[in-house]
Amino acid sequence: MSTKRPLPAGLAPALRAAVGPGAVIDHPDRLLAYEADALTTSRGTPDAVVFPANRDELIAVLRLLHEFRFPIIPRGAGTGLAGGAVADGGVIVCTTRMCRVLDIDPVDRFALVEPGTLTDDVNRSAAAHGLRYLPDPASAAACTIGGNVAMNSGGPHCLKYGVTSDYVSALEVILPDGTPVTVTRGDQGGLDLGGLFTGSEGTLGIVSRIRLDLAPMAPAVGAFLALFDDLDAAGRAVSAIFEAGIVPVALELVDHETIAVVETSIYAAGIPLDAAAALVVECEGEAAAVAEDLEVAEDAVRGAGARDVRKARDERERLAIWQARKKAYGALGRLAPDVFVQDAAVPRSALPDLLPRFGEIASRHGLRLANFFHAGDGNVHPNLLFDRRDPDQVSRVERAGAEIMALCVEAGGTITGEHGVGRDKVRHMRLLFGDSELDVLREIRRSLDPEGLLNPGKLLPPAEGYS
Amino acid sequence: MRLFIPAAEGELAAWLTERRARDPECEPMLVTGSEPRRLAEGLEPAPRDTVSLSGLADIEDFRPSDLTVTAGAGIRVEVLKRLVREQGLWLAAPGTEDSQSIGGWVAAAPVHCLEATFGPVRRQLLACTLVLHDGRITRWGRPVMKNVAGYDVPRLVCGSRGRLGVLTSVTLRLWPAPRHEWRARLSGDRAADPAEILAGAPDTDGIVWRERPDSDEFSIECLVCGGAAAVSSRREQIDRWARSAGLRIEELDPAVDAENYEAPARARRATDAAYRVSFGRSYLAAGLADLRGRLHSAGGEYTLTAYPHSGVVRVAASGLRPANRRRAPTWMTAVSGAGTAGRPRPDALTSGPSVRIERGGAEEHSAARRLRATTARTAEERVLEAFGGTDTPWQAEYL
Repeated sequence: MSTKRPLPAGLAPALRAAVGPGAVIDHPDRLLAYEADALTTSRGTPDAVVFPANRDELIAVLRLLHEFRFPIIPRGAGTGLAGGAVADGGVIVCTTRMCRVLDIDPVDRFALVEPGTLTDDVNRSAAAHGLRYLPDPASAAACTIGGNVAMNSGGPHCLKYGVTSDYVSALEVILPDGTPVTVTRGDQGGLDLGGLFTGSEGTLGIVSRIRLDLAPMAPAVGAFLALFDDLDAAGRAVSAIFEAGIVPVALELVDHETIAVVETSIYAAGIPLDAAAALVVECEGEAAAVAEDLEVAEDAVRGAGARDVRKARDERERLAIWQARKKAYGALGRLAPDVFVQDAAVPRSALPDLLPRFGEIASRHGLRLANFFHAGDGNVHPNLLFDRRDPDQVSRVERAGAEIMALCVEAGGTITGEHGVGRDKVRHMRLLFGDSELDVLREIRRSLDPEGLLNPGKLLPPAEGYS
Repeated sequence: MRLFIPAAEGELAAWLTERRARDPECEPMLVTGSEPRRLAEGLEPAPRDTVSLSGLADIEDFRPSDLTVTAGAGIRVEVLKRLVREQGLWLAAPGTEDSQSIGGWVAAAPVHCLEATFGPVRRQLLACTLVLHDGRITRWGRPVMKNVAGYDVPRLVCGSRGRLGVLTSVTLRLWPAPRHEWRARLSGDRAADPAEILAGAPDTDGIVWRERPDSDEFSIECLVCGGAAAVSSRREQIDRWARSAGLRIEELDPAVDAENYEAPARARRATDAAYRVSFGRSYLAAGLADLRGRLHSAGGEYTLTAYPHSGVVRVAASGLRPANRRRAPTWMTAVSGAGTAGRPRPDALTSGPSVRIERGGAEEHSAARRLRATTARTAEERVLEAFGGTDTPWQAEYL
């Protein structure tokens, strides 16, 4: 791990002048809080952390850092799971003070927000107008919209509704030299630069304002929990639901290991311990349509071999159904101090073959594995349990993770479905991209950040002469 | 005009490589999936080379259980739709023209009437193969529903109109075929005020307002799909609306009338220029009325297609007087921006015009460039350089 270096002469006072003395951290003890994001195995030491309060301060900070040619590491709330906000030197530009919901337009259904706004805060503001923001990352209570934009976050509901980039209608991005650029989806005939910046992981610019599309609240929502005696049957049930013509808003699967952990914790949801897998199915819409869809889906899962289906009769029961999925990480904390949350996406037809092979990989490396994932879109999260204080375990986790990545790509999938590449998966990018593609990606990055200041070491493997 | 019809992407790559080596300045060329000679007529600047992808029209990989299909860019959308429908699946591309290729559909990314339910074109594209201007074959995305590895090049390709490279293959997401469908056409006198009519419209997608030059009426075409209860409910809402607005309602057979659902190919042939004007939901009705008035004054003929749920209007115009063609983008910009004047907190991100020129000649071409803000254009030019360089305009903006 790197150690803090002193900032170039003149930079620290200039940053303090730009954002106020209380908005610059450069004491080593205080910097410890910023040495990792939610991927705690990936750590680094920034040389300072700066907190601009608004767009003008953000521009001023970037201009200064550009002038000094100093590395810039964008950061929101630090909830990322790919090490994307970790700094090996450089200045972290943290947008958490830029947290205002600037406008909600209930007629044209959009929200204008600053990047440090919490996802749940957007929903609270929208709810007052009978609207909501559809992407639902699991960390919505803690993650920022800016971070969601940087990583193109998803969540369980993206099966039906899509991901962050589907709801970003315009962005103001501050380029590394401090130039503000407004980009859209190509509404004015240009390229979909909004789609390019969304998911760019802080390597092309820092967003200063985001316009988000909102949707009306669903009149009704319903869910059921289906239990299975084997994982294959659960996989067949997912396919059966689609074949029946249903696209639920969420389709989440938890395996036996996860069930066992949750049911022996304070988060117990009443799932029998001998169930091999459980499937959460949720539908939204008008009440009669939801009832019909759930009925059709229930027939489908029973036909696929579900041994029991528990329907939520009210909101309390619906939330209880989600317990096994949403509290799983908390429950896993009883088994090991650390969880490596792997993230990949594969064709659904590959799941029956891949899931046991994940287990075999984990077992061969002497690790415990719990699977719970977005079954509807093939976005898997094989979670490896370990203790990061033991370097050998860390090493085994990394090797197991690499094997899992290779397996997923070989099956036609990708190395990340929603958590991003960050620092963690840069080394796997060559599994997906050849030299021609990497050259183009590097050229895109170089064209907007010629000095290579933004988030160095993230997203793209280095080419000769570029870091 | 020289016409090249590659039978494989390698052939295309070799041809592009040789073309660039022969002529580094590379005069503009036209890429099309179909009817190359017709599409090249009247284009300015006239393309010296036209590439037709009609030879790359095979199904490469079809995975019904994974809800994905990979096909050559030259396959017609209607052919692909029919093929996936036979497997009980659905491509979210309602209202495409008969002759449109899947590559053209992706490259143009037209608005469609079910975007709220299924997402726009950019949500359907999972992966693609793009041959760059220098002949490099590049592959982007994976045949999976979620993928955030690297920059989202497939998204960038959607709507790029050939400016990044030649699309030779696309992987698309599919949906389970709707369990039920209901189509209807409502009609009324063209003199009616759109604001009054649309004020009572149900809050749903699947509704398209259309005015054609050969009719004294407007028509509103409704497409509802989903479960029985959902379709029944929407149908009741539309029935109520039609009655209260004094509209005539005619139920359509979904199987028979699909080809007439949106602007038929014959209308496109007559088009000199086409525009897409984004008003936003709140101003669409008033903007539609304003557009009508101005188009009437501008002479010529026009077809208006409005998507109330998306707040977007497409204008296909022909026979406009030359002076009016030059001014059209400007006043359309003003019209689309007028609706924002009354907003309590106008903001650079949310107000401002949104006019996209979708077809035209040199005048529309230069107007399109003027419409884009300088800083965004600069960023765009830099990104274009990464794919092929703006100093060698090998692919004209055939808008």
